[in-house]
Amino acid sequence: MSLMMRFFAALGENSAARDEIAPLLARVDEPLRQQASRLQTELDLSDGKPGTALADASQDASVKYLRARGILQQGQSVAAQQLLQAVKASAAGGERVQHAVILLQADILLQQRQFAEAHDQLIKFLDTTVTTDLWTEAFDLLDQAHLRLQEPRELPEAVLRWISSGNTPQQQPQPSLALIKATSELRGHALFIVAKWLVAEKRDIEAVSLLEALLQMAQDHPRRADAMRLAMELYAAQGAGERVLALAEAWRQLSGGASAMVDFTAGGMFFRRGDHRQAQRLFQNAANIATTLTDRRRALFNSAIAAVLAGDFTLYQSLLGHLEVVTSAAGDGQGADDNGATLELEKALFAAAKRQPEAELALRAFIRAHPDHPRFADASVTLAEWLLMAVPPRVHDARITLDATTAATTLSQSQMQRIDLTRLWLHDAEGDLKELLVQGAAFLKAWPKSTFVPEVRMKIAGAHYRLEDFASARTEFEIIARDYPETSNADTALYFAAMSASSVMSAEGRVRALATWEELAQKGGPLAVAARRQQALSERAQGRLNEALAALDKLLALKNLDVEQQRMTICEKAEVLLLLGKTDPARLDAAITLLDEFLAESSLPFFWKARAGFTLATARHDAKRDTEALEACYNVLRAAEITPPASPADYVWFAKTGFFGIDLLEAAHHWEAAARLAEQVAQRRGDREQEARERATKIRLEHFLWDGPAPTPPKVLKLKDEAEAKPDEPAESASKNIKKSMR
Amino acid sequence: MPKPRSLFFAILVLFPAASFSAGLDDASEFADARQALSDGLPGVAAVKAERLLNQKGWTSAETRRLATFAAEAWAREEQADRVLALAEAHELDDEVFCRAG
Repeated sequence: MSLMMRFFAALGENSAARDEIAPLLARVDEPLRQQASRLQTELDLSDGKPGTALADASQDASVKYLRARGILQQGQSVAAQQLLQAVKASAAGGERVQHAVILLQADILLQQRQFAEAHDQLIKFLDTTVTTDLWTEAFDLLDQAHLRLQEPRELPEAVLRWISSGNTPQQQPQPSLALIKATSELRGHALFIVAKWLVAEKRDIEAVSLLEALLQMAQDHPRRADAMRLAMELYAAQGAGERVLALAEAWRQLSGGASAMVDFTAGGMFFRRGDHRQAQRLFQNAANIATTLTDRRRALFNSAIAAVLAGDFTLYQSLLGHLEVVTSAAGDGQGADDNGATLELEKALFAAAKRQPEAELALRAFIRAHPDHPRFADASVTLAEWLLMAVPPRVHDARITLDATTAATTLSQSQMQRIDLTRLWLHDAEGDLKELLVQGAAFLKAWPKSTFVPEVRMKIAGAHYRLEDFASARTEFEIIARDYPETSNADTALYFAAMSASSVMSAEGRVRALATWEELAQKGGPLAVAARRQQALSERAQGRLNEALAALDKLLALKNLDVEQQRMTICEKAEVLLLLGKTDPARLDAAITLLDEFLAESSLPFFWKARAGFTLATARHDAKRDTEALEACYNVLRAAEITPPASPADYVWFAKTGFFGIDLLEAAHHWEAAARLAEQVAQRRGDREQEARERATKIRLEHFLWDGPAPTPPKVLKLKDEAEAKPDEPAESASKNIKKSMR
Repeated sequence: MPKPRSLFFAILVLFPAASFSAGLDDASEFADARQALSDGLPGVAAVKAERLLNQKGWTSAETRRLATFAAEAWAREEQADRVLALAEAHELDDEVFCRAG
């Protein structure tokens, strides 16, 4: 009986344990009755009821220990610590109570945030104890203490030593079988805890090898199931599905054959990793072997959701049918409706997340059919978000949907928060940034503890930034970066805090912005490239060209720079070299060499050919190599014949280069060539087309070049009559061209 | 010392039209150079031809042809010193006449 009772208590099945205890409390056998009474006190404590423990005034060491736990639950850690110290000093109660006292003292230190002290105390305990029933608890506490130590944390030397040879008192020349077993158990605990710490450091491969070592050890190690579960998580993350399934099979054997729990857990792992098909198979397997209707329904439900996410709608329909049958068999008709509706909603939410066109209809169908469903608001808000993400945003429809949601149903706090957050997006889509600021502030006041607070603050900060209130934007972004350093918004907030600071146009702001960008660049996160580029732009804007050049060189040294970013950076570097070349001709040569190499790439898009070509022409001109400068311009115009400028940006560089070439030719008094080049520029559609045409006409008129295409006459000239009067006069070809042009 | 102007005309008149080699004709850069010349930009043509000339691997006939092309282009650009530099460095078609012109 006592064994069953302890078994249930260890499993956390407190009510079952209490049922076992109840008859023992009435027994005449005093030692057994006392033991049952203490176990009941322990159960009460684990249920958060310290009353029994506090009421027992016995001086027995184990009772004092339980009383200390009761006192601790009441928040009196000093008094609890004093009582424990007294028990420890008396050395009473046997080894188990003494060990429990040491661990409770370590727990108190953890609660007092004295992590290093707790860590040292636990290491000392584990390194000096040959064997104990409380190793699992001791290692759990050590895990908590270690993970709260200041980073960078080193793996404790003692724990690594335990892995290889056990702790200090276990080092004996001729160990007994019991000692060998104890050593093996300690080594297993050490392997498991170090594996967990390695996972925390994202050293998954090393962690897996330690877990595999543990799994090769004694089959009855108390951490075996935990090790299997962690190894499965890690293998699932690495995409090693085969090994996950093999471990699941081993776990099944460990738990005595087919186990719905194992398949359900493994299914959950695959589901979280996004392998919905494998997850669906495991959930379905769990449903097939589940021993209770509740487990079967739960597994079928998950299987149906996994089928939806895997895009297998035929299987989904089939599973939905099974689910209805199971729910009906359980005599819960309402449950069947709820399950069906929930799956219908999941399917619609999945379609919305994937931006599938049928999402809107599916969401509207759910909203129409299930106005009383507890997740009605989820559907409505998702529909509102869907409408706001439409191109162009359907703001009016979104507003109607949100208003109807607020009016139609009882909302949970989390749903109300989501609605308020969606309203901020709505104001954003309307361009009503001032209202967004007002509503954002109201949100923060109403829901200061909401998980959406970082997102709301980002919206507020973004609105300030777009309203060009850079001082407020900077403050908001800095608050986000400071208060939510672990969120995905933190780096973005830091980046825009720097953008805001640099826009304030104060010396302090610029210095702060540069320091922030440097910090982001050194972190190497997703914004490292953008931060380094802003650093270069800012230095350049301030005329600190050598610093800008250094930032661009650091940018080019980044390995994750994509092709377009690399091209832009090379062009920017050439431009900075060009500016430096005003005082140092060697920099001009460097710019020319850099651009020559850049333009040698045959697959360069027109935009880069034109931008780099223009910069090269300018550099060569500055280096007093005008013929070569003209060649660079000519190359751009030739490239435009093969791939004409297709975007406004293409055209800007095309026109700049073309006009620069015309200037060069005019400066060299090559009037005919200048006119022809201007005409070539005029052939391309764009906002400088007319300017180029007029330039060509002007050159031809000023220099009497009559052989070219029809020039555009100045509006003040009235040559029509003359031209018509002398249509065949050969010496007046310019007039003929004018006449043609006028026709 | 010949007058530059007379040199230009001599080259323009006597520029050869024979002995083309296939390798050079396959080079897109040479096609670009010739296009530049026909677009009325002899300086650009000359720069392109000289850049090609500086590349290795041409036969002596191709080198001669390129050098002559570049010289003609520089002559049209009225850059006598560049023509003479080419004449010093390479054999040109009708070189004797060029120098004499």
